[in-house]
Amino acid sequence: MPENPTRPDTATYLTARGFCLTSAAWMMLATLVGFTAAIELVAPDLTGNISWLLFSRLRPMHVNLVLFGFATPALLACAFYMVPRLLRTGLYSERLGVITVVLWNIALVALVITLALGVTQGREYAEMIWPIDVGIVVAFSLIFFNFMMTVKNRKEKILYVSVWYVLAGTILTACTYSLGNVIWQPDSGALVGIPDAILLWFYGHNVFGLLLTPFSAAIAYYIIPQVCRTPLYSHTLSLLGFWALIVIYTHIGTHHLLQVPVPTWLKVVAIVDSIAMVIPVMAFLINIWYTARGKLGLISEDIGGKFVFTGTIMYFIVSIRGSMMALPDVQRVTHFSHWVVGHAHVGVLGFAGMIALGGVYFILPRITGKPLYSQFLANFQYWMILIGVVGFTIVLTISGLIQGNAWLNGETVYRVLPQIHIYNIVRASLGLLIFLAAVSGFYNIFRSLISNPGETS
Amino acid sequence: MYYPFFLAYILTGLIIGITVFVWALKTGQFSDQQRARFLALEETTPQAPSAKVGRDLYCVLYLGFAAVAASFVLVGYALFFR
Ligand code: HEM
Repeated sequence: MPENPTRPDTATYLTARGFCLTSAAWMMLATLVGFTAAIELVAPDLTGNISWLLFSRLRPMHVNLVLFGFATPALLACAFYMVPRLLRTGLYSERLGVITVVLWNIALVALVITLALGVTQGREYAEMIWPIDVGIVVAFSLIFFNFMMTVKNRKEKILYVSVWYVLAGTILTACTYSLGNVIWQPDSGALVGIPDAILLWFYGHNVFGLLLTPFSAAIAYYIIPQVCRTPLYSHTLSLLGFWALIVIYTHIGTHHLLQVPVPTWLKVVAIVDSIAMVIPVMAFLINIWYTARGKLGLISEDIGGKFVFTGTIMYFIVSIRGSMMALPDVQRVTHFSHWVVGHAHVGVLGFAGMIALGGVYFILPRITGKPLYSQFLANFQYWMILIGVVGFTIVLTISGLIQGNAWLNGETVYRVLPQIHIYNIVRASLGLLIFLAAVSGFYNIFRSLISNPGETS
Repeated sequence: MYYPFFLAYILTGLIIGITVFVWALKTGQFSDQQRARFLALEETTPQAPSAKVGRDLYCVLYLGFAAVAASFVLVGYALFFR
């Protein structure tokens, strides 16, 4: 097959560049849509009856764009840089990679148009209609093929833990995406009744657990030792964490359905394994934090490292919080409230998003051979997102507890809404920070890749 | 009737998982862990001699595609024979 530079340093990194731009561009739209939806929670009548601006259309658009438009492409960009380097070879096919980027963007355009028109299958995280589903599965399959062939051509015998994570994340997503979207039922994209709910949340949870988490962990394992200029604390521990994640994460989807009449044994499995998630989570965090011990100065000087390290702290928060939320007594209060939304933002933006951006800022100077266009803008983005996501966590947790308690006590909705109004306002303001961060990030990434005035090193 | 599908998927997943694990064990992925710690630090890693592992990898690739093929068979079954 095509060009296949055997040395990684002769590579063009076109695929990584393409995914960087994809992520930066779609992050703007994703956060703009989220921001608009947040305003509608404050002022529900704002957009009147414009159908494609209704909350019910904005919400799935926001969620899917964040997952598949912003986070995943940035993680993939980093993977396309990191995997060949870790294997001491070139990417199998840059051309195939670029085709994947194009396919990915076509799917995203189709996603926005269909969801805006209200053409949806109405299942959370699986809203996209069948042709888009097929596009996404094909994209993941192509990526897996490209990576596997790179592995085959490798010059380094041992697969570093990051390679394990990336390979598993890619193929497992291809499989669970097909399964969760019930791709064999093109019309409805659904099974019937309770089995559908179980299948959907098996998939839904795997989006975080077998896509975002493994890719983010892979990037942290790659970047933190480099930034700290020290070897990984323990590679054995990292592999233990990897296998534990694969075994445990796949079982916990039903913790989203604790208030639903699914079989009790399945709930028990989900709850027990949600607590057991402490094992892979702490195996990862202990490893990363011990590697970084005494090196925080180096991390704070490197914008990529800073994003990634902050992401690992967010991972701690989201996981501890997640394990607690899986306890039925806790979830009786927190379910269907802003608390869960708070958890989702610490996870997807604070953990996966931060690490994804860290990955992008880490690889940009390395793939262009020039310094980042603006350190200031990257730092600006870091602080805006940090303030935004910590703020989100605080206000959404508080308003979630108000909502949850009110519901538990049988309060009527119209008495609760005024109580959480102020939190919705703060939340929308914080959303503005994140949208601004996305715009400045796009400008910075665009200028770093294209028309970068910096000296080539 | 969804149990056969769920069971088939669980079994496929289990078999592939175990096979990959055994492959890793056999090809020494769990040995030489001290050197593996240095792999992310590119400059300091000694260049490893190129390894001949082609056939094993084809097996893993094959297994990956077997999973996809299994899915297709199930899909076909669900579409046409149910
Ligand atoms: C050990 C780790 C984790 C556990 C045990 C856990 C547990 C949970 C539970 C129990 C829920 C459902 C809450 C409810 O509906 O009442 C939930 C929701 C959610 N989690 Fe996690 N979580 C973990 C990590 C993560 C991570 C790392 C991410 C993101 C990368 C994440 C993203 C989400 C999202 C987006 C939702 C909202 C789902 C929805 O739309 O309803 N979680 N989590």
